[in-house]
Amino acid sequence: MNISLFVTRCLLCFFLTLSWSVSAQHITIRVLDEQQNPVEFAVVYINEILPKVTDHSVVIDQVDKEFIPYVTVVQRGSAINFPNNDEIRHQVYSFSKSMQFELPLYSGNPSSPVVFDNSGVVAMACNIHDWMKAYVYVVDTNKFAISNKAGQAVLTNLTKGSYEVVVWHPKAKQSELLNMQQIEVGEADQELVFTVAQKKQFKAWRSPKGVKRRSY
Amino acid sequence: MKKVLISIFSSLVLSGPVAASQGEWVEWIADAQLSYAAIDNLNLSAFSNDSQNDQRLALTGVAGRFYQFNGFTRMSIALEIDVEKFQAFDLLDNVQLGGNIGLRHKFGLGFFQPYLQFNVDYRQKEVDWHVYSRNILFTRLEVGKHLDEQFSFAASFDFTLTEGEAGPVINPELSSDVFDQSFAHISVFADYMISQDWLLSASYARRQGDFHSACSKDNVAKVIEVERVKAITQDDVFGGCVYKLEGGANIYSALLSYSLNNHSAINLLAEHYQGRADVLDYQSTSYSLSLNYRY
Repeated sequence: MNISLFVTRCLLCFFLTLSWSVSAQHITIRVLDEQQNPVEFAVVYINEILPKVTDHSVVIDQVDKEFIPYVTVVQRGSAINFPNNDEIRHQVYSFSKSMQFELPLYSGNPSSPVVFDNSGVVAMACNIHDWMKAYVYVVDTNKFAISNKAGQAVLTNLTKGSYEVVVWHPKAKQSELLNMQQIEVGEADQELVFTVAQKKQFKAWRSPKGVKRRSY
Repeated sequence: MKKVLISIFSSLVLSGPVAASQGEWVEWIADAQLSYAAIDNLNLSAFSNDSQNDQRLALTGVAGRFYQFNGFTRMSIALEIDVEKFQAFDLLDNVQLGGNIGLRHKFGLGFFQPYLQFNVDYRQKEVDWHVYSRNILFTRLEVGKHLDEQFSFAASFDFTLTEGEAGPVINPELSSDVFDQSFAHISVFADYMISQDWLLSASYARRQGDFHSACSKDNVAKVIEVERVKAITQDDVFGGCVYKLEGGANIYSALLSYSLNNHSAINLLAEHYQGRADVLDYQSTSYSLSLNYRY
């Protein structure tokens, strides 16, 4: 046997095996409620501490007196900008255990972003427009996504291994610790389905309810 | 008074920002309402054989602006125009033009902080039957808060002064200034969100002070005999007399709102007035359906 041909074939097999073992896979997560309807704005993430991968700051906008988006997920230590693109002022605040802050009455862009240093849920509101509400979910991992209107979220670039996938939603009846599934990532993309029971949650009434009463 | 209000409104809204360290003119107010009402015992007669029912169409427009002093206090200034058309008793058709100023203060940061609100409203009501025309000055103080995400509560006290023109004198012993009146309400309101799109509201008010009632000439003698009538005049609207007296009333209302979107809703209101002067009872019920828009 030709030795150089043999070595070449061995090296080829080695690199093929290596590439196969580090190939990245995706997990598609579908989030449904108890009636099997798709759930939007569910945060889906891998439950492990991973290095922070990006320094770009995230934006939560204020348009037509609403926060956009309704739910944001960031890795711990990330900065979030709160531009106000309404022609009026807003006063943004949070009383959540993991993060308390206040942006006093302002218009335009605040001078600096808000850094979210603790994991957990941060619920925010506007002190002037009671119906304005949004959530930031702060995680330790860099593998996370938010479900769309079809209730789908995709976790990408996962190497082979065993993972805990967790789902959180602002209206979830149960803690996210109970919305957890174990998955073995192998050679092919996979799908997971979560059923997240929803509790009733309301934003303050915004529509006009003034009505002409009879004057006596 | 009308010219004074318009000039105050124009100078405040259209001029530059008021000199305040943080204050600023913020969102505009542009509201509209189209409503239809069916009113039982429109004349608030004490006699079932005199009671008249009717239907009313109304269009309301409000334009103004908010001034935000700081994160907790804001003022509203607005002009309002109301047009009412009645189906059967068209002499009650009227146009109202007025202005109002409101001041609202929230006691701190957060959804559950209570608020205090003060409103002053002045309007001129021009009615086709001129005797019913009057100037109306209304003031109200209201406190309220959200109790939880679905339920909120408010209480208010309001006082109204109306000034009308004297009608024809039909009883020399009595004044004909029927629409010179003063009355007050103490009210409580509760809102309950059934879902994100449906709201149920209920209120109770206790009214005390002057009110007016209209009846046929046949019943006037009975009224004067048993009640302390304060003023009386000829009434071409209902064909008899309209008179003023003093009494109390309980007013109950229930409102169902459906949100079409962030800026508009359909509202269905049922209101029942149950009043009493010295001897006689005065009751009326109305149902109204409205389409509301807010900018």
